Amino acid sequence: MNIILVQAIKEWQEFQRDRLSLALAFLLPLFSLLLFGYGIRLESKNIPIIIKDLDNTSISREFVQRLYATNIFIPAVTADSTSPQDAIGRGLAKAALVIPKNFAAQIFRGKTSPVQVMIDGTDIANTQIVYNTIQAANLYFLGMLQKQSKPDVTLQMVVPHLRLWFNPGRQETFFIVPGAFGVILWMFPALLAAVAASREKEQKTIIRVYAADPNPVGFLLGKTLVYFTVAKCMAIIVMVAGALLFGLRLAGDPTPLLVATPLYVLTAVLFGIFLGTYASSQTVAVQATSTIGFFPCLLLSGFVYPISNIPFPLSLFSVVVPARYFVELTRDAFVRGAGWPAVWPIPLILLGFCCVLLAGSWFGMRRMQVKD
Amino acid sequence: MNAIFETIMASRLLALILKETREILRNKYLLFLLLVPPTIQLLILGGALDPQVHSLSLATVDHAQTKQSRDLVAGLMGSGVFLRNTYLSNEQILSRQLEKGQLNVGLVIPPDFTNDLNRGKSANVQVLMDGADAYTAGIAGNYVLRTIHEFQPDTAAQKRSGANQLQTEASQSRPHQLTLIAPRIDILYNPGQISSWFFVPGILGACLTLTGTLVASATVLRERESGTMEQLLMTPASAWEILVAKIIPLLMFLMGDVCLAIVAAQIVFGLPFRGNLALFLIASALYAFVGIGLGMMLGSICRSQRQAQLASFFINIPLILLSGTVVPLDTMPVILQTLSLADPLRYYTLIARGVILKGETLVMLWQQLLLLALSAVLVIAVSVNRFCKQLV
Repeated sequence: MNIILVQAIKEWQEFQRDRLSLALAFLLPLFSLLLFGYGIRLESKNIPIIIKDLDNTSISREFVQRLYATNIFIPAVTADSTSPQDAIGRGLAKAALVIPKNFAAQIFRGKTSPVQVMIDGTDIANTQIVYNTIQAANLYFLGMLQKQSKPDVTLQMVVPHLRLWFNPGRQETFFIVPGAFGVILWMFPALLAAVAASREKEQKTIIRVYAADPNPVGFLLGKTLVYFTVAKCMAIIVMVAGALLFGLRLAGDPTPLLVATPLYVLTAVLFGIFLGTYASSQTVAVQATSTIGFFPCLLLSGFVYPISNIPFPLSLFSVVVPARYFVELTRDAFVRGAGWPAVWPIPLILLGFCCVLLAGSWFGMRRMQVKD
Repeated sequence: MNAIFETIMASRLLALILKETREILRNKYLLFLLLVPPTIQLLILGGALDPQVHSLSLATVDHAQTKQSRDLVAGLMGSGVFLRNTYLSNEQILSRQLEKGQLNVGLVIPPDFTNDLNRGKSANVQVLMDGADAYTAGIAGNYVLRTIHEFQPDTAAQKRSGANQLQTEASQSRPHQLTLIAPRIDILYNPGQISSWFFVPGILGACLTLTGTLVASATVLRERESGTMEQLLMTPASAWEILVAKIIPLLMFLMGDVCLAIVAAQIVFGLPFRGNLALFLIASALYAFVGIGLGMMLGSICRSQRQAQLASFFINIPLILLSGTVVPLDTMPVILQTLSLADPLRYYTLIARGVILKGETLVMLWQQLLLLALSAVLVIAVSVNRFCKQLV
C-alpha cells in the first residue's frame, strides 16, 4: 500500500511539473465536448436541389411548393444552362427533379405522369432522406389533389398517432452529448496513462523499477491511481459542462452513472497503462493508443451511427469497445431514465475489462522483472 | 561546373534521406504502426460505418388479431427499415422494453381496428418511438407514417359494396390515384448505396492526418530530446536539407499507406476508381505534406513528445470533425461551417470522393486542389520558418 502511494506521489509530481500537459489534460476534454456537442448534427436540412419545371402549370408549381414546404430542400444556386447531371457532378446540388411537359394534362386525363429524380448517391446519409422526402411529399400532394376532387371520401384508412418517448422534441444534442462523454472519457485518460507508462522506458529509468521492486503491482497501481484521480476530475468537469451548456439533466436514478463512471475511466486508464507497458517507446505507445483507441471509440461505439448497422463479422469488433457499453449507460442516465433494470450488466462488463487489462499489464511488467 | 555542384548537393541530401529512412526502418514497431493499422482501420471502419437507418426492431401489441392488422404489420416490415418484429401481449411489456432501449418502435393496434375499417371509418393505431436517438427516430417515423398512409386494407365494406358498380369505381380509383405521379428516382454514382464507398476516401484522409502528425512530430522531437540535433547541424548540411531529408521518407511511407489502402479497399469493398489516378496521388501527396507540416510545427512548439502528442489532438479532432469525413458538414452551425473552410482535410475529402466515386477531372476540382496546395505550402513554410529560427 505504501509503495503504491509513494509511486503515486512521484508520478503526480512529474505530471504537474509539465504545465502544458496539465492544461491540455483539462482543456482538451472541454474543447472536444464543445466541438462534438455543437458540431455533430445528423439531420439534414437545406439540401440543395435543382428543380426543372418544364410544365409550368398551376399544378406543377403547387407540386414544387409542396417539396419546398418540407423544409428539407433549398434551391441550388446554379446557372440556368448547367444540366442537372453536371450540377450534381460538381457537387452544387445533391438532387435534381425534372417535371416533364404535359405533367398536369396527364394527371387530368387520369394517367400516370412520371417525374424524373436524380440523387447524388455518394452522400449516403442524405440519399435516404431525399428519397423519403420526395416520396412522402408526393403522397401528400396526391392526397391533397384527391381531397379537392372528392372531399367526402375518407382518404386515410388508418390514422397513426405517433408519440416520441424520452426526447419528444428530437433534440440531437440529447443524443450526441451523452455519447460524447463516453468518447472523451475514454480517449484522454487512456492517452495520458499510455504516455506516463511508457515514459520510464523512453528515459531508460524502467530498469531501476525492474531492479528495485520484486513486485510490479505497486508501480502499476501507483500510476493508475494518479491518472484515475485525474480522469475522475475530468469526468466531473465534462459532465457539469455538458449539463450547463446543453441543458442535460439526469433522468431518473443517478446511481448507475455514479457507479459506472469511475469504473469506465478506470478501464480507460488501465487500457493506456496496458499499451504503455508493452510499447517500446512513447511514440509507439501514443500511436497505438490513438489507433486502437481513438477511431474505434469514436465510430464503433454507437456514438454517431447506430451499432445495429454494423454488419456481422465486423460487429464483433464493437463488442470489445468498452465505450459502447458506457455510451449506452449515459444515454439511459441522461435521456431514458430506466435505471438499474436496463443497465445492470454494464458495470459488470466494465469491471471485467478492468480485470483483464490489469492482468495483462501485470503480466507485461513481470516478464521483464529481474529474477532473484 | 554547375552540374557537378548539383550532384554534390543531391548526394548530400540523398545521404541524409537514407539516414532518416534507416532510422524509421530500424524501429520495427514504428514501421509496423506506420503501415498496418491505418489499412486495417480503414477496412474495419469502411465496412462498419453506415449512416442509413435500417435494422430497427419493432414490437406490436395486436389487440385486433385480424387479417387486416397483420397486413398492416407486414406492410411495415416490408418498408425495409425493420429487421424483426415481436408480438407482445400487452402495453406494459411494450413500454418496459422501450424504456430499456431494446426496441426502436412500438405499435399498438386497438381491438376495434378491423371493425372501424369494415364500417368504413378511419381506424386509429398508436405508434410509440424511442426518441433518444433523435436522428433515427426522425427517419424511422417518416417511414412508418408513409407506410401506414399508403396502407390500403381490403375490408368488408369494400366487398359489400362490390355489387354497386358506381361505388366500386370510386374505391378502385383510390389506389389508382395514388400512382398518378410516379417519381422515377435514379441514384447516381453509388446506386447500391454501399456506405463503405462513401467513407473510405474520407477516412483515408483522416488516417493520413493522424499518422502524419504523430510520426513527424516524433522524429523532430526525438532528435532534440536525444540532443543529436546539434550534431546534425555541425555537418555541412544546411537546415533546409535536414528538414527535407526528414520530410521525404515520411512522405514516401504515407504514400505507400495510401496505395495500400486503395488497393485493399478495392479488393474488399469493390471500391470503384473512376477518375484519374495521378490526380488522386498528387492530392494525396499534398495532403501528406499538410500532415507532416503540422507534425513538424507541433515538434517546434512543444518541448517533449508528451506535449506534442497531447497537442496533436487539439489539431486532429477539429481537423477530422470539420472535414465532413465522418459526420455531415452541411448540418453544422454556420460558424463551424465557416471554420471548416480553413480545414485542408475538407478539400482532400472532396477531391478523393470526387475522383474515386464520380470520376471528376482537374477542370472540376482545380479550386479544391489549389486550396489544398496553398495550405500545404503555408503549413510547411510556417514550420520550416519556426524550425530554422530555433536552430540559429
